[in-house]
Amino acid sequence: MAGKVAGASAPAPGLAAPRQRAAAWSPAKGGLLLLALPLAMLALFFLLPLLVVLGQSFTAPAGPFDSYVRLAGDSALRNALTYTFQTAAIVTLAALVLSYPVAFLISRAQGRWLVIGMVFVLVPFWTSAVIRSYAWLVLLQRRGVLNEMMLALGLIDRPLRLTNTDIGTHVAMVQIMLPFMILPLLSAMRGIDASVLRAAAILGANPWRQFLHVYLPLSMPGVGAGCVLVFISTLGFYITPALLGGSSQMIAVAIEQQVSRLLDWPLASALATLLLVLTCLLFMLYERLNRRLAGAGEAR
Amino acid sequence: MNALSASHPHGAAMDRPSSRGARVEFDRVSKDYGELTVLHETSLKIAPGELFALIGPSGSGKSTLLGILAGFVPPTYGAVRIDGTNIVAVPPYRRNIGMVFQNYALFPHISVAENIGFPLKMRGCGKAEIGERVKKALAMVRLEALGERRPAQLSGGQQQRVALARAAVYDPGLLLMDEPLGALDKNLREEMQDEIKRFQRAFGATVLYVTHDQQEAAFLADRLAVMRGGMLEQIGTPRQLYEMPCTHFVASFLGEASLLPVAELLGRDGQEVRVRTAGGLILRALAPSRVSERRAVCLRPENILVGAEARGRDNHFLGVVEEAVFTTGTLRYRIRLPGTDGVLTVRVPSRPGIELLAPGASVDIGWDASMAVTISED
Repeated sequence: MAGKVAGASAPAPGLAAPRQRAAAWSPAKGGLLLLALPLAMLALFFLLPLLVVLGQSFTAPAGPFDSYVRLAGDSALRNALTYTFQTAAIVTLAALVLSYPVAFLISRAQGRWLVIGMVFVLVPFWTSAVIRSYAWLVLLQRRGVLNEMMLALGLIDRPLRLTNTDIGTHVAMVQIMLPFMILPLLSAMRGIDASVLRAAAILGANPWRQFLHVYLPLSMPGVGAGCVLVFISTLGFYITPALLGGSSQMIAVAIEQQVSRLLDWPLASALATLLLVLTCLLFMLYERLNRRLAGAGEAR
Repeated sequence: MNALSASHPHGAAMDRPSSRGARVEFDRVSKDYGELTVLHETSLKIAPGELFALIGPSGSGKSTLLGILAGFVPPTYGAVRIDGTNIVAVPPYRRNIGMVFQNYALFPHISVAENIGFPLKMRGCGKAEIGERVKKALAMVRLEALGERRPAQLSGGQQQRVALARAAVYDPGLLLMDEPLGALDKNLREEMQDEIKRFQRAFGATVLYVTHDQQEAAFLADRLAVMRGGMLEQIGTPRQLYEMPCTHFVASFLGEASLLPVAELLGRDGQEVRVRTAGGLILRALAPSRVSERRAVCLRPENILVGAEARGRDNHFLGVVEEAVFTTGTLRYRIRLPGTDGVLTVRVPSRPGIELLAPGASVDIGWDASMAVTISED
């Protein structure tokens, strides 16, 4: 496009020049072409199904908004929603507390230790959540590895009930979410200039105050990114609570139940839409907060 | 300045009378990393209020010495004393030393004023006191209007001044500067050199200044040490080091020098010696008693006289101009000596009427014995 305009506006240089220009490859044109395929894929397999779900949520037999009205009135579903957000908050917090020191250690590591640390983070990250959920089932069940071990050591008399409880689900979810917390933390921590901490030290800050006043604030972008990533991912957890969960339902499990057991597609769609809207709202809130924090530093 | 030199009552370790700078002493300090010795046994005393510069190429050990004084690098052996107290076991945050880092190391997440107030906050000063002293420090570095900005919003020179204010606001008796002007462009660097010099005179602190820029060191320092391979090669005032270098390394690290290798010592007359160079010339030169081996004669380019002035000097030869260049204020020649000693670099002030000699011309060159100095090999 730029080539054509330039060629057309060139007054005298003969006919050959515009022709050459027109034949030239323009990144603008090429870029659009490159984008066409993924855009088509997204439209077909993501946007369209999403719109179908949205549309379906208004197709209840008793009227277009009936699904949403029922959703508001159904205490079990409301509980599932509350429980989901509560779980996401717990998992996020636990993952943060566990990840921060790990990320700190890896961020300080060099050479071989860095590789070892990264392997310990990335191998679970690359392992399917389904497999890891099953592994937790094997570990935590009544006659599972953990119970057998504690029985053998005489720590307990009877096997503990660890599966089909909140605690089991939370432990598994936290473990699955750890890499999502560690990686953003790590990237923020590796960006912290060591000389800034030295400066804090020579200016009179003891190690604790160096951490509190300098390191922690400088690692906050990683904390924010990790928390959002984990929180939003946890909202949509399905397989782990389905396998390990107790009496309280995560929203994704509730949706699946509506679809496959109660065959209430409009209600399931309404639930899915609600989850999506809430997630988007949360993300927007985070973005705004982030921009305000960063804006204080970058505004000219 | 008053606020900066007022002592404050917080913390016994941090509180010291600050009307003058601290006395610093490195006592047989060395640093090994396993098999690698980065600093050989080094002793050095720096007087209160002195601006002492360490210069040398990278890897010469100057940053190690600075790091040992700051407390970032534990020495393998030796003692470091500030005002007579060995501080080797004292952590950096209790040494009450100010430091300006090469990349400034300002805290990016807080404002300029908070950066400068940070050391005061760490010392438990009250909000009102911090506010007042930060304001005075900002005024001192002429950044009154920028206190609320973040460091990233300032230019390099402004950041440099913030770093200086932050290092001085708590009135330390000792200020360390690790290549503080390394990241600035030339004009700004010269401006900041003036500023640092003024600041240090007014502030009265002892300053240890690390740089690899010999001109900067010569301009700023009361005394300086040239470091090389983890050792102090020579210590003295900039002028002593320039005029009386002990070694080839010092001679060529500080300014320009032409070196004529010595083949034979012919005789001695008080402070002077007569030598025969490898190229066959007989020269008279100074022989400082500190230099034991006399392996070369060192000639500074401005000490060599050209033309009529050269006749009748202690050393007088007829040379051939190989290269002649006008640079601002100076005519710069490369003049070949008779014999095989090679080429001398000569600088003559360029004044109107003084003609630039043409390459190929024969010219009288000469210098008195007191203008040349014998040095050891390397």
